Amino acid sequence: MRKRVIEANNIVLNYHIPCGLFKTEKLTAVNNISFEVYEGEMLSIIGFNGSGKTTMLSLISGILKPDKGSINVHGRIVPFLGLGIGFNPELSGKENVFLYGTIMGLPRKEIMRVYDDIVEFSELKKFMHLKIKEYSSGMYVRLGFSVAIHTHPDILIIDEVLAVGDYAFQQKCLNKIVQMKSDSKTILFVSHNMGLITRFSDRVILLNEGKLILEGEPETVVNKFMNMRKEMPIPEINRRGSGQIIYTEYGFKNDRDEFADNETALLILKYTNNSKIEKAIPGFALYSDTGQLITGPNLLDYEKRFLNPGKNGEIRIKIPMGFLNPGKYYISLGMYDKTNRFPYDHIEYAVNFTITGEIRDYSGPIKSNIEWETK
Amino acid sequence: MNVDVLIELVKSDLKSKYKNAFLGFLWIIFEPLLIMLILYLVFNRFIRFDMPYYPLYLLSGITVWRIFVNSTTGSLTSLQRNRDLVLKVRIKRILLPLSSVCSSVLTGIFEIVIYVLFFAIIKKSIHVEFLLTIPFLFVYSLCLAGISFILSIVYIYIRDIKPAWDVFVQALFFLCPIFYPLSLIPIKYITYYLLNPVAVFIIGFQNILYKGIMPDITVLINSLFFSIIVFIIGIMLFKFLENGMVKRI
Repeated sequence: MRKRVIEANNIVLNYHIPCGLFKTEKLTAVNNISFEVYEGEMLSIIGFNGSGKTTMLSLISGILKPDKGSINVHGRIVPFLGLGIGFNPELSGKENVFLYGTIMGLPRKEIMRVYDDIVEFSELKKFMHLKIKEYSSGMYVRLGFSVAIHTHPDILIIDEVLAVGDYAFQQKCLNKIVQMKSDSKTILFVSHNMGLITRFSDRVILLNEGKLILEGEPETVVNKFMNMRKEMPIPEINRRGSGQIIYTEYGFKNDRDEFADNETALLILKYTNNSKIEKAIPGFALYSDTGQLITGPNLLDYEKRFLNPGKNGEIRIKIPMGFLNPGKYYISLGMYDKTNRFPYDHIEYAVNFTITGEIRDYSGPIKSNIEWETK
Repeated sequence: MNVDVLIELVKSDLKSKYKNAFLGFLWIIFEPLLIMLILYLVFNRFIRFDMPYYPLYLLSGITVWRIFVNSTTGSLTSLQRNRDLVLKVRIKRILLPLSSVCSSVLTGIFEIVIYVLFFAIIKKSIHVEFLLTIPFLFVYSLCLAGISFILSIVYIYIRDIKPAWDVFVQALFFLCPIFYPLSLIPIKYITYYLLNPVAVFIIGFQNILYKGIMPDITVLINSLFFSIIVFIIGIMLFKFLENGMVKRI
């Protein structure tokens, strides 16, 4: 029988947002959620922004108290809801290690004992006498994580803190977390990186609008979340530019908006030249559903030539979809002047489409055509 | 462990306040002396109070007054200033206003030491009664901590109390015997005048530090009880409003 370290029973948390002088509006951030976490387990919480993930972690950490329900925690809990909270920029790195260490719950004597380990882990030995305000943001986070990890928690609560810092240090932190997990420490994890979630979690919880929607195997829950992302409302079209050339019609051939991952799509753009412009640069940008820019090709960069627009014209762009993982994507269109600085027409989120197929890589939108050979 | 956090917070506060200044910790000496000098120049020239060693009288009052002003105005915004510590770390939140009070009291202790040196230089003697400052300062700090707990947490609910408190403090300065002698207050008003606890504390400290006499024993006992009650009310109100504060901050 595995040991239960966190039990949350029917917890509810309401915020009362002031609106007007004496009125408040009730906002339920966490709505009747129950779950358990076992020793040595890594539980991830996923959901859209504002779905209650951080509130949930604050409740478990004891920073917020639930309005209804109960939370029982067995063991020393250390929340990493932000790194370097309470660092004083006017003090040196060394002084801040002591300040932040005590804030994170370490006695002064204990900090003195592990001080060298902290400095070594952070790789900042040369900079410990410098004031924190002289640190780069990466160094700041490194010192924060190093102190926090040396507080020897039984339960670690990690909220998106690994998203900052340089890649090498991120990997080092991940390794440390995996090592702590194998020392049967319990980890609660919030991240928008689905690759990390599926790779490391034992179990995943999906929250939406403060409610627990699904709990279970990482892949099942992450897939459900990916499908929910596809159904998200399309961002509003946003158009700017001088209007000297405008796109009159745009979309995929036959108005398609769904493609298999091995298809080649044909994007057709019709334009009108209103003021006898002789040289222009058409282009587009492709975004994933999280707003990440994937590629932004234009005619000049790809073909070393300008568009010589007539009064009316048509541009056809063939896009082989083989490089995209299944998911939802957006295309923004641009028609720029010959310096590629000033838009005649620019349409944000003009076209959206879905790639169907089996997801084999959760870490990002790109599907690489790698080949495997094993012996 | 909470003591460790408190010590680190106070250290951090004092260091960041003085370490970067060119004159550093010397400001602890200069600040009260300069204020004393201004008041001395003003009042010795325009309104003359016939008091022996008027600069010493001024300095003793100013020092005690400054502890009150610094600790209350500092702690008033202490939770707001440390919003991240409230929202993202498990820390006893009452330590935030408490550390503000501690660093102001600590600065005050330095100022009192400077005062005593000044006293010794001018009068070429010191009094053994000066030692009474230590317990009396402790009682004073209890009272200030209580007030600070209340101010810091109420501020999150009612932001108006910051400007209101600033004005109130300005007014209170004139209701304390700092630049004028207590004898200036007409006898029939003295009872009302002494309803101001800060004035009572200042009179007590002036008895010890300026006159070198022990304050009235009933005053001492009353201040002790008053301070303990304010301190307890402060803690209770803080605990009562704490969970709501976290959601509002």
